[in-house]
Amino acid sequence: MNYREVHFMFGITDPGIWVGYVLAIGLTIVCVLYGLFSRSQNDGDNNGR
Amino acid sequence: MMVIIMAVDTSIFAIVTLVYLVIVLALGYYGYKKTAGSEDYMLAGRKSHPVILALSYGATFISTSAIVGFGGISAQLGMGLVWLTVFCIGVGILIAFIVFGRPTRRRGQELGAFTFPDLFGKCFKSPFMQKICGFIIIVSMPLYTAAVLIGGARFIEATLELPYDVSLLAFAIVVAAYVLFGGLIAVMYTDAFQGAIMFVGMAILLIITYSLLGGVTVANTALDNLSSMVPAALAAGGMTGWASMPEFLSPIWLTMITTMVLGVGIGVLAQPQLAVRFMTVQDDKSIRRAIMVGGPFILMMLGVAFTVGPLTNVYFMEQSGQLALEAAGGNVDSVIPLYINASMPDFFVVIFMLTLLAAAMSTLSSLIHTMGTTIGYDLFSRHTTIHPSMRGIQVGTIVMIIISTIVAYLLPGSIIARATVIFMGLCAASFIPAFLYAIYSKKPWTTAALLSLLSGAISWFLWTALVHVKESSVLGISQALFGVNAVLPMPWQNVDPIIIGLPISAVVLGVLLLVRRCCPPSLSGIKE
Repeated sequence: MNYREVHFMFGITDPGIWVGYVLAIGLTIVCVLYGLFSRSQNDGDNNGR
Repeated sequence: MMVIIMAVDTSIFAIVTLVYLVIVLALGYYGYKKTAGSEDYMLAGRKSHPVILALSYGATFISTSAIVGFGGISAQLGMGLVWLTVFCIGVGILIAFIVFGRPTRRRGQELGAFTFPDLFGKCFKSPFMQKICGFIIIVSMPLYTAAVLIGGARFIEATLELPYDVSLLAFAIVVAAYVLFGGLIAVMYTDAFQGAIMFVGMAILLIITYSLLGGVTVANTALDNLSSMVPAALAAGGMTGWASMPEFLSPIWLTMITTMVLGVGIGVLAQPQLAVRFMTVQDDKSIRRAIMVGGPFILMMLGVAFTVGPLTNVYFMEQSGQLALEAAGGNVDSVIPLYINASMPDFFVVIFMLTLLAAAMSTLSSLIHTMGTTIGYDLFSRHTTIHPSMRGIQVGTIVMIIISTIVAYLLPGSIIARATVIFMGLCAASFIPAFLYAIYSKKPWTTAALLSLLSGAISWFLWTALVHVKESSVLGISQALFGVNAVLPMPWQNVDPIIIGLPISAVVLGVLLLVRRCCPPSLSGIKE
């Protein structure tokens, strides 16, 4: 996906805005993946440091 | 002041509110039944579910002012506030949970800490540190609590058509009731319920708004095309449009980035009512799993508010040829409620009003609980080691509710929005470096942390009182001492105190630790 397609998709001309949206959504996906990945991990750390 | 004109019959909203209150009070009763001792009352027994933690954290963080107030500001200043969403997810969730959350939980459990100041005190083995932290909380938190109380009371006054004084009192009493008896279990369960309502409400708002305006691209393009309509005063301040960033380093850019994006985005890291939640889960896995819910929750709250806010300009321009702020009579706080009433179906007006009530109650309950534990345990308890007195904390909670309600009656309307910023800024500038040092260092040096905490608080206060014109003009200290509202010229007057206080606090800590590491205590003259 190049700049023009992203630009067209959001209908916003200023990269200062759409980069913000991409980052916000991207970070949310990172949060979800991080949590999902953690579901399959066991810490064994529930007794302090 | 929040102005809400209900398009739906008041009695319908009253019935829905009643059902909502019954559920909230039932959850409060559940918390009461589950509370067997002080650890349950103060930390929900340290065994909260990750989803409860995430929703409670998010609902506490997002108050009515974040949706209505900041949503209205985004209607005025544009989509640039999306960067606050980025910071709140990146810093407020990812960094907060991973960098701060896990060590906070571990140290809290290891040391048997019950509150945020208690954690400080036990990490540094210094009751004085605990008292200083408690003092900062007790001084600043009633201001923020009063702001949330007033916001909620104004909302109830407008929607249920009750007198303001009755609304304020009723709001305080209902929230106090379940906090007082159910402790943190009640607070977190009601928070989670309220958070779920908020999530659904904002999701529907986004979908209906884009449907109404012809789809994502059409609506955004229409917003972009409004750039020629930017009022002259805002254009002079650096605003370029509602779908573009303000000019770099212009007054509007500085306010947007330093006060809103950095001030709130970083300020979230050391808020005691949020930090204490990390100690309510039993393992690190719960904290990591909570991130999975926390990220989407913040995106849905702030991302939607800062997208729909600017788009209200497209709606009002199509309907009445006015910008949103003009249509709302120049009142930023009225933009979102007016838009909801004017454009949304009746069922959603009720859902949205419930969303706002839930946002106000979830934040208020957490603040009341934190103040109650601070005054009843950290500042005045005689049993700060093993078995804190629940009765003492409950008495403290009652005292702080009364103080906050009195502050709410006394505060002028002009200081309400500032009270939120003052609380977050002071907490961030004072606590963040020392907090990070406390949870990561095995043998932290109390003097360095104390000096860092005090230098952050003092520099933050001086900048607030003498330079940052939005606060200094209200406080009047600079005017009384120097005959001017701010002692430094532009652009410094628009630089938020957190941008000054936090680096000073961090540098003081860093320099002291470096000196101590490089020079033996006997040479450097530094002693514990």
